[in-house]
Amino acid sequence: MKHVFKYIVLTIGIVFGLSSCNDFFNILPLNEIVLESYYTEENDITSVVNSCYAGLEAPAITNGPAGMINLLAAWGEMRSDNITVGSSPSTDESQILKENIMPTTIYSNWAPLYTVINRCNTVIHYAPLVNQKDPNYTISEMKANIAEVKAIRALCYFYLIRTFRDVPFVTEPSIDDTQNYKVPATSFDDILTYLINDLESIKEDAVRRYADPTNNTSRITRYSIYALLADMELWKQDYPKCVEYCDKVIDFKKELYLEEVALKGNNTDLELFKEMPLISEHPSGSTRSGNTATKIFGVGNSFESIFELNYEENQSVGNAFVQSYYGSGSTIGRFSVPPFLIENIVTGANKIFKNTDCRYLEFMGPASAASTQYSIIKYTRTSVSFDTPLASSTTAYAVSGTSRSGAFANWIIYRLTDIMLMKAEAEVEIGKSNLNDSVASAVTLKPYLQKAFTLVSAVYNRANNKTFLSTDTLKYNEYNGSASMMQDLVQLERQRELLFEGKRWFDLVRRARREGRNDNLITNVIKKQTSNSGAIQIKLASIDGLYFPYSESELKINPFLKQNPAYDTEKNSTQSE
Amino acid sequence: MRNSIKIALLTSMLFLSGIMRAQTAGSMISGTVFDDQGPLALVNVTEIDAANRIVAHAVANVNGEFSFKIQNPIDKIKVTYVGYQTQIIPIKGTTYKIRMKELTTLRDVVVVAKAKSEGSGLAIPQREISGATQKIDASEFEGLGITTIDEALQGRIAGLDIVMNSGNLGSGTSMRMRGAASINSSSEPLIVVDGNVLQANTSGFDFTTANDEKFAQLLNINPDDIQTITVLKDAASTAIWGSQGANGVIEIKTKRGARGKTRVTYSYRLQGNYQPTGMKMMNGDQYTMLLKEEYFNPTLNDASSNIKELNYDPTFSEYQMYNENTDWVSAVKQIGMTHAHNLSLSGGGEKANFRISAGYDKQFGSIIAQALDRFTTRVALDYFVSDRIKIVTNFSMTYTDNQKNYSDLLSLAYKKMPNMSIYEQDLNGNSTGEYYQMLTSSSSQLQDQRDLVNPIALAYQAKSESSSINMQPEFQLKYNFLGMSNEETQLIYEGRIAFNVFNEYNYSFYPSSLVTSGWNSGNTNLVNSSANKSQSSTTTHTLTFVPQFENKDHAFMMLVRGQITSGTSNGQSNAVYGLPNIPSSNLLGTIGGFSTSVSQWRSMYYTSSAHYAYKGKYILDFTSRLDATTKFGPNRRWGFFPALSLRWNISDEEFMKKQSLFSMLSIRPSWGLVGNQPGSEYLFFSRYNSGASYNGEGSISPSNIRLSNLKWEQVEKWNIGFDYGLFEDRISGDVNFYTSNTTDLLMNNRSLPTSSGYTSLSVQNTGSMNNTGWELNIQTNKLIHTGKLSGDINVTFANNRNQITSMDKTILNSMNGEFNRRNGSYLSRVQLFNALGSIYGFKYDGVYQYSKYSVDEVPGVSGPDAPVVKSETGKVILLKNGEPKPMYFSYGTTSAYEFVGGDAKYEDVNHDGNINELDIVYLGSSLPKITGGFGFRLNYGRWSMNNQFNFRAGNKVVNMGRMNAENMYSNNNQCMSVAWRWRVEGDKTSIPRALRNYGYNYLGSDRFVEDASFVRLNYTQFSYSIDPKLLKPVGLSQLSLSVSMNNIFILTNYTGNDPEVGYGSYGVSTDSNQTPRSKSFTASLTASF
Repeated sequence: MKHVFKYIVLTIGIVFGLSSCNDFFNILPLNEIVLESYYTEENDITSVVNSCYAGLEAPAITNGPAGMINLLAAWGEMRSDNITVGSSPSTDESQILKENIMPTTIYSNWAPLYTVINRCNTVIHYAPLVNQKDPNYTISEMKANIAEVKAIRALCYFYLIRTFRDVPFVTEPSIDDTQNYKVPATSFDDILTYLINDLESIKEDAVRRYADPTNNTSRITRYSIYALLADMELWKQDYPKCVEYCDKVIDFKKELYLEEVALKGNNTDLELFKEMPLISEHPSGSTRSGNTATKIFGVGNSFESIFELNYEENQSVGNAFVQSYYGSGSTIGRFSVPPFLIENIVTGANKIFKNTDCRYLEFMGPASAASTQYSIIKYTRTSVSFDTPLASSTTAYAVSGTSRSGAFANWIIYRLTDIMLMKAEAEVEIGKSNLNDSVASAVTLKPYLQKAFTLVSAVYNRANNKTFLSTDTLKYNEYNGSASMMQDLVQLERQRELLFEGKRWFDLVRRARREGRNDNLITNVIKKQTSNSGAIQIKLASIDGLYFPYSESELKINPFLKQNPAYDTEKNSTQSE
Repeated sequence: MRNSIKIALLTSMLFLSGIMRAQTAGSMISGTVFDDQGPLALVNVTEIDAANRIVAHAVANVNGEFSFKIQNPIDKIKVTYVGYQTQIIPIKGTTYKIRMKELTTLRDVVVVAKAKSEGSGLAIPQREISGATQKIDASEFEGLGITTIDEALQGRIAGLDIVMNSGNLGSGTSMRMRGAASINSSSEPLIVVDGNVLQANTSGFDFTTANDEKFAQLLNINPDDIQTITVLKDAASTAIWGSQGANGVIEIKTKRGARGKTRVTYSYRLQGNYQPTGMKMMNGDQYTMLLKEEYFNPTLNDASSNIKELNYDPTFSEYQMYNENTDWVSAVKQIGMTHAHNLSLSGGGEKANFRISAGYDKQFGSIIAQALDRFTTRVALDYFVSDRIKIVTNFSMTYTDNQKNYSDLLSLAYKKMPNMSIYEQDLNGNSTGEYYQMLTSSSSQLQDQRDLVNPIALAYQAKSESSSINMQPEFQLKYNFLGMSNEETQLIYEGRIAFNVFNEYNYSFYPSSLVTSGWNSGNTNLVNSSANKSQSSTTTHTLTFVPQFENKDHAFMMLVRGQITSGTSNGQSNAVYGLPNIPSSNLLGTIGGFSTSVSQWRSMYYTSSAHYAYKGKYILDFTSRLDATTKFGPNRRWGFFPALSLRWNISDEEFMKKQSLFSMLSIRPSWGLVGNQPGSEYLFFSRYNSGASYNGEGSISPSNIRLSNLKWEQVEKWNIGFDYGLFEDRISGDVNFYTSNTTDLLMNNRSLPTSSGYTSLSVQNTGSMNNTGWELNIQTNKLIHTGKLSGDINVTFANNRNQITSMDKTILNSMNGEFNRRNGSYLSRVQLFNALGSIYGFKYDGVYQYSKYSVDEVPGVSGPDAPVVKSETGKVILLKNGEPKPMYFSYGTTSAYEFVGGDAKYEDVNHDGNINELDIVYLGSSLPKITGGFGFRLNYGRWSMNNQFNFRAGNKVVNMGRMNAENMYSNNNQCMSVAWRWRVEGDKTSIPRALRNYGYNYLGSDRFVEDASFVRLNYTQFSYSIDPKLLKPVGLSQLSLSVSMNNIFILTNYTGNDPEVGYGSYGVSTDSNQTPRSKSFTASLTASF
């Protein structure tokens, strides 16, 4: 019997003793890494930083959100006067082009941006931990990484607030289901102020130049942060600050120019226009023009670029947006150019482009025989070349070039002429604010108009090939009458220079915000509409109507979001008599 | 694994030391054995110790003499011989004379022990079971044409609703015990075979998306091997299974060997099955006529209906291939055959019992080109080391090879244009024997028909094969520490290790000859192959304690059990296309897809269960279970699930003794908690995955939100049951009322505000749900008993009501879809205090007779039945210009449409002149009001007849099959009913006009929601067993023959193929015309010797 009890004790011991091995339950995924074993070394951080960039290139998901670039470009361009219906756009797109935006539209699904924001937040949260664990990961490396992702995060929020105005503002990583994810929207101004302060605190931490030169334009540098800050200050209407940041970028490019000249002598594509180093349309030795478009949009990562999304040929993810929305070379994509932008240029009747402007040949394609639509060719060609247009020409020049075969066009977020024109815009505003009845405008306003004009004409002259024309085609005297004339000129030059780069709609909205009136925006936008313009004007008259609606599905699960009043109408329209 | 080795070592030590206790004495004994006729040769003489273990042994010689050395003088001598009574003699002296007595008659078996439950818990006497259970003896199913046991259970268990998934070979059933208690987790009951949970890999197994074959694999156990089936319904009876048993438990006990002569049983079943008639489809002539109208109507332009394939134009090069009247549906049907052989050997002796069985099925489906081979084997071996120690080993294996159709042939056949021919024909219309596929150059309007491949060609040229092998070895050791008989205090240890190995290989091939969209299509010579492996081991230790009290009024027993399970699974799949014309994925081709998966799971539980009975009248049971799984984080890992149940046997009370009506009357209240766990692993980890690269550098990013808050879904179940037995148990059964509340409902893929950076949480506890119902079970025992005639009936009824009682508003919002303004779709809605499975849609009101309105009918021109808006009082609303206001669909949206004559008429519920989402109403529920079955059995001498019906009533099904065959919206063939379609102004009909890709004639409405109540004669069987006296001369002990008919008769108003339709998402039943269950005739023969 004694034995028997021994066995009982033993058996019970076996049965219950198992509970002590808590290890038993610690099974880890076999094909994934878990947080607990991640973040031990520098590489872990850089991989997640890389995922932030990869997130900026996120492709569209079937039955899910649109591709990231589709969003960025569509938000900045689709509603503007630059874009009209091309070849079979989706229902969502053709509705947006008709200014009929529904809360169910795929373009209201902001998920890809928040995915990137969350990755950035994750880096900011865990980088200090890795710094403690890995002695090779220095404080300055950590700070540089944090600056990098804070800039990416700011860029995402900046897009979001320009598109939706007030959005949920999250700065903590989403790790655990105990966190609260139902976040109310924070106002445009609060977010913008936060972002500016945040970037200002880290701007000096960012890398100036990377070892690999491609990274200098395709990853966040100190100068891309300045560019982003300049843009944000412009929206915040702090114009002196904007000028300050623009100057930092411009000065850096000048410095680079000097290096380039020191290295190559005169054997460079670059040329100074009004002391601004820009890529020449017609480099010395060449008989043809088109060099600018080839270098900036065709090849990518050009001298003028400050930050662009780089698509490599062997990368699994491509820039499907350019390929399917702008078309591939000769074919028309889902979007096309409204006729008023391109027609009648050679006759001189076009209000936007002169016949000497290289850009109309570089950015827009002539109507094909089969269709009356004009294709967008910016980004869609790897090289462009044509005879330099002359003022006397009365026929359009034949453009030759190579169509891009894969979906590997880089997408430019900021480049030098954008910054120059931002500065021009800020200078005009500074001048306007300086206006004082007691002091002559020659003192308060004119110097700023002059500064703005110089910047605009630098950009303009590059395209309207100054080497053939002894004098500037753009004449200061025609624009120095008032601040608003100069303002219109800057806006027009921005449209010409940054056509199809996802900037135009935001330019128009920024001006409407500044003026508190939408009339300039409406006049411009209505030009492309062929029908129903009365109703569209009414829709656009309210400032709310300039922003996108929150997505229907987001509203369903986040009770704190209040729909933009412009879209919060009675859902079920009933039949009227 | 290390643990189980440790345990195995310890347990083996445990009984080795037991053997060493024996001491040797060494003295020799001898003697003779004889009977009345003289000495007996070959008699077994053994020395047995106190535990009946044999310690020494001898066999008597021809003179009946034996001798051996004894081991211990306190042992006994045991003498056994076949056909004689066994004698046990104490060891006294050295010589023995043993007289053996012949066994002339079998002893009358005096049932001392009360009938006991044969479940995996305590062996509680049947009369003391306080949970809600129901037991069926598998002998009732012998000779039936069933391949899996769930088919036989249909309608037999009150509260267990079993629905056949489809009539394809190898597809299984879906089962619901007392309604669905969960939204996303499995609602299938747990199946336990001989105490082992029969479960495929739980982590990779997504019950909500699992196809029917996966379930079938779970139940791949040969019906001939089953002895009894016990269904545990309430929380008290399932409590020892804890979270696994939340949906009820089906305990299957397989047959084992028994002491006696080796018995060989062979049975053979031949079954012929065929498809029910189904919908009558149009022939080629009617079809082309319809299509012409379909194309003409939207544009009113002859040019749009000018399609060469429909024109019967002899100058068209393919003319001969488009002038047929092909009946595709009957071309894919055939008479299927099943041959099932089953052989079993069972027997046993002193030391061991065994049963070995092997079964082989060869099935040919009732749809062409389906074949299934199944081989099953099961070995059960009980070895009695002594009375104290018993070693049990079980081994079972099932191999299935299923040659399936590449896709559902029947649904293709219903759609395929009937004017096309099966085979290519020459100029004179003679078949060339080659399958005909529509050419790439065929009319673009018929693109969808081109994509529907020729089903006959698909059947014979494409391949889809799935083979699996499942092995379950098991080892058990039982040790009685204390008393060995039921009158002594017992303490029994039982340890068992069970392994489960499952391998599956799937292969499919799609030949280029079936591809119509060009040689570079991703389907050209496409080979898909995948292999999955999973293996798991379960170690269980049970200690049972049954004390005996001085006062026999008290009875008590208890059990403590611990179990650990661990398993891994891995799988890989690849798809390659563009292969040369040799179907193998090893050749060069373009890789279409490649994936691998690995997973691992572990769980642990402790159960304790106690049973107390006073005078066998007042019974109390308490069970508690602690469950832990790797699916939850460390803080939420353990779940505690207690259950308490009581029983009062009223019929045993003194005051009941006088009456003779009730032989049993008892009341059984029970309460218990059970839990449910999510379906996937690693949820509580924040996981990092690699993603797309940037600038040539790889990236890694977090891929999920870790669920540290996730907890067990908990179900609180109340049950009150009554057992009754009338007229000496001639009629018996039980009644149960129950209610169960599920809280912290687990829901998969819960949408999350995307501002979190994620679109969903993989699982979340979201709300609560209630299931309330009752069930009734009646069975009889020799109800009719006159002379040679005897008869019995069985009846079950059950009812269940299900509703969601709480849920976060945002969750409800996101579950509820928006009205998409599309034909053919029903709004999915889940509402608080409403049952899942509610169907919402428009009210269908027939067809507008005229386009133009007039108060009085002008034949052929205008009439009162026209699409105009009417007020609530039925008055026509006029516009300012005096014209009647026209009826619109979704006015003010991009889908706006003005109705005209011949269009479907939907009820304008709010009388706003606009048919839109506001006119959508509740159309009924897919959950049946009552389910159950009944059957009767008559025996006359050696003849018996057995009938079993099952029924479901009060449930609605969306008849998608009919919708697709009546919508006249595409190029698909339609059913004959559309011959009554509206064609010209003034036609009075309920079938709208034909409109291809136009109009709103088949919005989700009650037109296609049908009552799916039915009564089905599941089977009827006649059997005859031949008198053993006649068999003895040929050496047989049993020979029986039976004939049965399955599913030959069904009473229903449902117009689809089969009203038995499973549940879809959110519980809505949608009949999309899957292969219906076939009807069959079976003949079977069973012989034993």
